[in-house]
Amino acid sequence: MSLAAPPDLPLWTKRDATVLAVLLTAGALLVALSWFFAAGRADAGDQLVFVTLAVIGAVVGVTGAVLWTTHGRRLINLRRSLLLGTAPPPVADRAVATELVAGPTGRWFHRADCLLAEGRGWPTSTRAQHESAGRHACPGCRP
Amino acid sequence: MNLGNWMRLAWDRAAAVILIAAGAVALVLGWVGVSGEAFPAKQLPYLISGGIAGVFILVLGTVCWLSADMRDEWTKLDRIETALNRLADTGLVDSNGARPASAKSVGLVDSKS
Repeated sequence: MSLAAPPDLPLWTKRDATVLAVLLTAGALLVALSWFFAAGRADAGDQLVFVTLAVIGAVVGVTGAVLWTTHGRRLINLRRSLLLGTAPPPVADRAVATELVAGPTGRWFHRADCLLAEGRGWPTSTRAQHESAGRHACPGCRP
Repeated sequence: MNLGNWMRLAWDRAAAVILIAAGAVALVLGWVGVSGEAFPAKQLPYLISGGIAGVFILVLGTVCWLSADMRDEWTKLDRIETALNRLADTGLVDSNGARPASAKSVGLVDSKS
């Protein structure tokens, strides 16, 4: 059996590793050179440009790291979804009762078998009564 | 498993631990250096070598650790794919069956085989 995605397929290619190595090396070099040149100056004002360069170097290195991890994560998620699919949606507990109930101080009225109303012993009323009391239809059971 | 074996088998995690520790040490040393100097011109080199370089090394260590996690996950997916292919080869599953069929249907398994 041949596989479109063989088990020994590497997570990162040589190109990914090269990009990471180049960005990390460039970042590290910038930080090291900034330190070297900043340490040789007596005026803090002259050093600030090297501090900025060091920050840029750190950003370059972090960019390489972020590219590396996001690429790996994206491939893993893609392969996992291809292999295992997504979980089936849960079967909704649909309320079907036609009696409409609500708590005395409630803002919503529900179907009697709504999960939010079950077991509460709330009195049944008509829709018009609920609406005249200022209640709205429960967005969960949608009476 | 002793430390030597662990470092040999999980070299990426060992490198991550070492780098994170080194980054933390650099940050502390940078702070000590800055706090011991009165003049900004003497403090800024510590800010670069201790602060910025320390953060850089910490990020390197974090990437090493995350890479190790992702490699582990990739290896597990390899095993799952091998198991699914083996299951598909047995012919014991219905072509409409959930997992083996999905492995074929997504093109991970060559339909000619």
